Amino acid sequence: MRTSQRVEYEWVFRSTYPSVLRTAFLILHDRGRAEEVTQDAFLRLYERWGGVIRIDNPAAWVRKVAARAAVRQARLARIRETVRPDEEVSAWDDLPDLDLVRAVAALAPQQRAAVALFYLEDLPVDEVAHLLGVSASTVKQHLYRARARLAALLSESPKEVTKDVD
Amino acid sequence: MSTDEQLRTRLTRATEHLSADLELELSRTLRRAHRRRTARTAGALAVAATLAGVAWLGGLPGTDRPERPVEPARSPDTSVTRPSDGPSDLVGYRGPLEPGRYSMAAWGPDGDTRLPRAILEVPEGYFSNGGWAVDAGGPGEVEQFGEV
Repeated sequence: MRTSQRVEYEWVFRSTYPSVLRTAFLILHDRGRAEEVTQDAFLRLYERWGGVIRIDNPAAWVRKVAARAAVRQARLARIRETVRPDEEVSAWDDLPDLDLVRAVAALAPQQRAAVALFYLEDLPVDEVAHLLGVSASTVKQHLYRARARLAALLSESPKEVTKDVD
Repeated sequence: MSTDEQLRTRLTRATEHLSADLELELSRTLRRAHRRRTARTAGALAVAATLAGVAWLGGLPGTDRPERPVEPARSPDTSVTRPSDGPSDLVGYRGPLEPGRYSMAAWGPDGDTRLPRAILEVPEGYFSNGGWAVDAGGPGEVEQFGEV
């Protein structure tokens, strides 16, 4: 990798790593696995940097790779049921807004990803759909269902969660 | 505050503790990238050497040597021993190969060393001035050289 490419890569790394890590954490609700997924995504970005096929938007690319990997891992974890819910909760004792974290963790992996990318990363629905590899209408469904489940926690009635997802 | 605003605010607060030491993570990533590149290069060399060895044994299609006029076998060099009936081990064998059967260890494409030994049949009248190398050690190590 040339020096100029290395400088560009490091700039993308520093500006994007924290947000990718947060997204991975919301999907996986496990800091260690979130760090692994995030680092793997940036490692893959590094290996493709300056390659024959140019990546037009490296930040979006690495976010896509990390989000999809996190969703895959979250699905596998659910299938295996390797961790009991009470064991998970005990590991979060020090987390701020624990109720919200638990509520998000109870969502399906794709819903968690949609919530993380739409609300935490403030991405539009179309971009969320592209990152997750699904249609925009699927993303809207995920967000609608997630908000309905989170509504009780947010002390609003389910009927109110029909706006702002257009 | 709307549902969306609440979610944005609270999710941000819930993940603020995830601040990372960026320089540490960056250096880790770069170290892993360097290690993977080094391992890939060594693996590619090992695969190339294995394929060269297999091709030399005539195991790949399209690698048949062109026919040459049949010539009487050269008189053996006094320093070279003609192989016995069973395949002779190529390990430590030096000098031009005489017609006969030889055996050598072979590597799989993934570095698998559990393959059966390869057998090399050197026919009567065989003549070549090429060379060969067999990677019998770890990645990047070349243990056996010989002349054909």
